Amino acid sequence: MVSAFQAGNSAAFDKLVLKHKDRVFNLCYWFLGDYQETNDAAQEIFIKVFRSLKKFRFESAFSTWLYRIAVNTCKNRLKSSDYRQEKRMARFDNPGVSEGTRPSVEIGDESRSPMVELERKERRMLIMRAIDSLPTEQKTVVALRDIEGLSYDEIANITGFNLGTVKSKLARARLDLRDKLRGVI
Amino acid sequence: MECANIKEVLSEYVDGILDSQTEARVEEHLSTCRACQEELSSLKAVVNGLSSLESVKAPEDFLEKLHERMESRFTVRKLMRILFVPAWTKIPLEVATVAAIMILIFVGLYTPQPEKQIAMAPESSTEIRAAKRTTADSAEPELKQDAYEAKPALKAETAEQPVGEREPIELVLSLETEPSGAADLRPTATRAAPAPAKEGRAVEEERTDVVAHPGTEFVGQSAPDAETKADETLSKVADLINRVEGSILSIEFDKQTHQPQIIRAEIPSRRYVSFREELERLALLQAPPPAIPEKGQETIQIRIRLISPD
Repeated sequence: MVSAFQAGNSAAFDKLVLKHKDRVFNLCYWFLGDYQETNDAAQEIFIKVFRSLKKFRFESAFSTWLYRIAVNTCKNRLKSSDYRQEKRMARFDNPGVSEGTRPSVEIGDESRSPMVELERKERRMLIMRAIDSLPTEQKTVVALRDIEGLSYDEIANITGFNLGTVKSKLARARLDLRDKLRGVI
Repeated sequence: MECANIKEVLSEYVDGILDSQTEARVEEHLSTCRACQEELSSLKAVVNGLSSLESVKAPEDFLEKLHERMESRFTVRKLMRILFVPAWTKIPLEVATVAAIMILIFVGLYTPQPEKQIAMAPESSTEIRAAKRTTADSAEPELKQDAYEAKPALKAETAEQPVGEREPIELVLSLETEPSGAADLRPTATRAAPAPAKEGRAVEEERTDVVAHPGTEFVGQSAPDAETKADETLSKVADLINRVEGSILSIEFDKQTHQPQIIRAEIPSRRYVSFREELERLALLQAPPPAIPEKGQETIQIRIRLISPD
């Protein structure tokens, strides 16, 4: 699809978007913690992809290149202002508000009882808050490994960290999350 | 292996990326160490908990919204690209534009006015060159109205009179033809015309004030060139104006001879009498000096014409 796009097939870009949009969206969501922010960031990521796709040299897998853009975009957004941080934390403290501000697009099981569903949502919120409290680099590796399921090598290519750094940061992040989520997970 | 060493590699053990030798050691330790077993369990729970989180999907209209956004953004970008050429030509163009604007502003501000024979007033000099008093000065100066009227027209261009101002008082001085002698500025007994007996004692005081003006230096002067007589008179008049706390507005010079011809000045009206009297001592006042200006004027404008006697 990438080659087709580079050859002038603009429809190939649409196929790339459709193939990768959910993974990108999910990664951004766990990074940014806000649905609207995530939507905006994901679109920005694909616009960047569109602009620079013709320069893609196939030196790495397209997904690696795409994730790299996604991670950098999310990091920049996190760094951009403290306002966003306050916005995110305010939402975490008011799960009802946060749930109400985004449309439900999760894969839900309608067979669950309301109580189970509520517990699930609260647990999710606690996990999100714990992840959000991690330093950016730890958050990055844990999101790529434990949420997105990428390999250590892919994570190293995306982040630019060497393998040893990826392992140590991931180990640290998992231990921190374990301490923060005792009794939840 | 010690527990500390085991804990360091447990994360990798959970992911199954340890080499076989290390993995064997870890498993051997775990089989006997309860604490490390619990550590491993909690770590696995975290990993499993994170991996089981339900993914958040993009909205259904994500692609459509993306296209809308790209079109609007790229239209703006295209427009900007059309309006602004690439940086390597844009920057020099902008610099050139700014430079051109600055040149236009500079030219507009500093374009010289049409040339006039108006010179700025000279620096007031505290050096007073004595005016030679001829025998003719001892007598009442004749009313040289004819000479005044027959005076050739000044060749120098006149300065533009400010619109709306009162007519200045005109005084005509006949320049002395003979070189002046040593400085002698003691008030003489001669006057062009009897001073109107209106101010009385105030006139005396003013005269004293004028004569005794602080900072005035009376310097003996060797015989100046006859050609610079006008300049000397100008210098004296300028000094006098300063002494009566007036200011010179302009001096006009003859185009041909470059001699000063008209001095325009402004003096306090209360100092007019003493100024006039002092002026008479410097040169021959051609015509009866105009009367004291009407009351109510704080300052008066004076127009002194320097003429060579026929």
